[in-house]
Amino acid sequence: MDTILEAPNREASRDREGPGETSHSLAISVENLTKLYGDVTAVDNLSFDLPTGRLFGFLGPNGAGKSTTIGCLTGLIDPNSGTINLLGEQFTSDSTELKRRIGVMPEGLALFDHLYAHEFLAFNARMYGLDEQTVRGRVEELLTVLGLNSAHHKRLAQFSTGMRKKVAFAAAIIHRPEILFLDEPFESIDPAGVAMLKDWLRRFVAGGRTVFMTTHVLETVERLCDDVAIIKAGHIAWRGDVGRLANGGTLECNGQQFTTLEALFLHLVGERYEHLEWL
Amino acid sequence: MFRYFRLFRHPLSLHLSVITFKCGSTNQLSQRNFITLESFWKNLLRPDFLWHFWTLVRLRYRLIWAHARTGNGRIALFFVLYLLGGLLALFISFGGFGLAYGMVGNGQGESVARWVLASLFINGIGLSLLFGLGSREAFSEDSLRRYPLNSQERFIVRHAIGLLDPIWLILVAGAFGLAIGFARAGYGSILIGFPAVFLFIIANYLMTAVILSIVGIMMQTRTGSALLGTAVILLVSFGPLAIASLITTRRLEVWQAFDHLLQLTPPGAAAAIIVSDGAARVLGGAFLLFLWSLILVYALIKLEGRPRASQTAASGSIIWNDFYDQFGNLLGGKYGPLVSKSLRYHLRCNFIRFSLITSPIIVLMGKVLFPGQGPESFLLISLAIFFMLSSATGAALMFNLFGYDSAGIRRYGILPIPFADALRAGSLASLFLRAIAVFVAFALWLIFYTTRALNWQMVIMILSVAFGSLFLFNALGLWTSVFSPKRLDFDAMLNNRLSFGANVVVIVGILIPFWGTMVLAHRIGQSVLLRFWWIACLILIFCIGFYALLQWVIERLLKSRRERLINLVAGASDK
Repeated sequence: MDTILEAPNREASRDREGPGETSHSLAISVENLTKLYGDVTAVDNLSFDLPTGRLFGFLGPNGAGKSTTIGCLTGLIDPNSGTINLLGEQFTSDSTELKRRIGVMPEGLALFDHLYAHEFLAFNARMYGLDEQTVRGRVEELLTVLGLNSAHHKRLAQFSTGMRKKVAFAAAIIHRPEILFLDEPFESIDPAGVAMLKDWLRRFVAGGRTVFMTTHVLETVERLCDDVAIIKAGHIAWRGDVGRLANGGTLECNGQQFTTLEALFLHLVGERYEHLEWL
Repeated sequence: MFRYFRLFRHPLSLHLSVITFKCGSTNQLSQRNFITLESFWKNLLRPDFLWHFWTLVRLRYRLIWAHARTGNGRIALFFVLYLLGGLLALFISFGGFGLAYGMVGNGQGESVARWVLASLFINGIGLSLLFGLGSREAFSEDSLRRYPLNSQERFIVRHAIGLLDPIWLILVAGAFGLAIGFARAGYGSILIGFPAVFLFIIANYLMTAVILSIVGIMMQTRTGSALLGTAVILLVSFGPLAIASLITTRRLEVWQAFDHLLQLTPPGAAAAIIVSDGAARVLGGAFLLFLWSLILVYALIKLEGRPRASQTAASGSIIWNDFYDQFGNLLGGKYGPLVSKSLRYHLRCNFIRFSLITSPIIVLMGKVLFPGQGPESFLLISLAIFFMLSSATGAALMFNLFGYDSAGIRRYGILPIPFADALRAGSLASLFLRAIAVFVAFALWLIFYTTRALNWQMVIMILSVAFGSLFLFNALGLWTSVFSPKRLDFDAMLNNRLSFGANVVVIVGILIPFWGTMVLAHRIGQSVLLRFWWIACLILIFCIGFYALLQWVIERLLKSRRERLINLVAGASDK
């Protein structure tokens, strides 16, 4: 696993610089991104920059536009307007060369349920142009370290939700991407698995790569992420460094100080403690 | 490993539950056949259950309506189809009435009723095999588990809603027409005839469900599907020949034997009740129908209680470079992995496997599809059925290339390829699988069907038309996959898998050669056809060109539809 997570990305950057030696300082740059679904504005004029080598948490309540944003950033969804730059190049859903340099664990996981785990991972690895020897080595290694080796004779449809997440995660990192997009990566995975994935992500970022992650587990974000943005109704409502909380610092928003990310989040999205009389 | 057999004994209990434990393993197989006749009736009469049942019936029809109104023109189509169904039911009903009224005069009332009901019975099974019972997709066992229903109630709900499917109402209309006709002619009474018709339809539904369950179980394994395919091919190729030979040599004895045998079946029992002239015959028929229904319910419970065949790989270790990978390697790095994935996926789908195995037998059915044509029409009929073969073989795969991918379709959006490449690769896999089916069909045609001397022009014409239509329909499949996609259930064996657009293409693809042959058979002789053999080659070239053009154009067409296509196939709830 060390080689996948830390060593320079030779396959993905055969004819360009490795991630540690890239000339661009911004991994992601989004400008005035807008996505409409009929009359509903899912993402509204969203703009932000993200430097390389950061672990970025993208938070928000349900329906705030997180998955739509990640969909636009990974080529799954075409925005109505705005520009996206990844690794210094303009990105659209047709940017196949840029897609080689990113890894995605999308919402819904996008697995082919009737393939076996090794077939699915090998398929992904081959699609990213890895040679056959590397494909086999990485697939077997990933299945072993993720504890999926004993289940490789089952089709993905028969896997538990946590196991499916692990497979989707493995598919996202198998080609050693420079930016990793993860949509709710930790939900349903067992605590040992979560601890391992967190460790991998830290080392991934330490190797000069970037992680863009959405999650609802705020404690995880507090401990793991360098940088956090909270999105509400398609806008970024707050952005800041949550690393200071670990040193006893506070987060500032609208002149108020918050000692936890949860308190800040609830302040921004509105605390709702409605009571059900009949319950 | 040890086995623990437990026999539940009760006067009304019909079941034997076998529970198998694997010692020292979490892999426990349990067979949950806890449905007894006693609990069956008890649940059926529970007011709570009746309310749940009524709610689910309404939900079922709301779902049909919701599905109908999701696209432009579908509402109109929905009403047109229901209107046509109603008219068909009326027509069959009047037909049954007229037939009954006419035959009473000849003194052959019961015999005719038996054969008419037998044909309705076989039609019911045949139509259900083609179009499905309609219940499982809306309310599968798994989907019903979320409602407050126990296993017996779920069984009753699934099958009772299946029985309310429009297809059975059409058959009910035919049988009712027959019962009314006999009552009007003074034979039997409507009061006895109507319940008999209901029992008959229930038995028909149960028989269909049992056959489909058996087919489904067999299709879960490769050996089972191969056996089933072989059985169907043998049945279609030798069955009619055997029956024809029996009828021509011993016509009267065969007829009487069949007629006697028929008396013991649900159609025979129902006919005895409908045309009854005495209490003994009515009671005898009713007893026989009840007995059939009970046996079929019991068989259905046993079949549905079987644990699903585990979809696991045979080997304990990873097998690299299997057939799919080897084939993919031939196509290079761009399309190879995509084609391998598509082949794996579709050859693991029971329905597609069944379709590919059984479709070549259509070439043996020329005499059935085009009755009354002379030997001069042999070549024209052969060309027509090879054209039809290409339009229908693996249609669910060809006309809906992403249909079985479900949420996996999003993967094509994030992979470093143009989305159209996934479509092209799927089409290449479809072309490959269907080409194999065409070669098998050609071999069957040579072995079983060809009775006249062949010449090279015939072979070229047949293969050119077969492969020409293969390319033509694959090209249209690219179009329907983008503009008329449908999310499919990978495990289902029932129901029509085709979207509206795909249905149109398949129906037109069958009707054009059918009517073309009927019109031209007496006008164009074989010698004339053979003289213009090169036209078939031109057709092949044109179709290959058309396919290549569509492959090129589809990328632009796909661009505007990509997001909608992904959302539709992946499912709105899984966005």
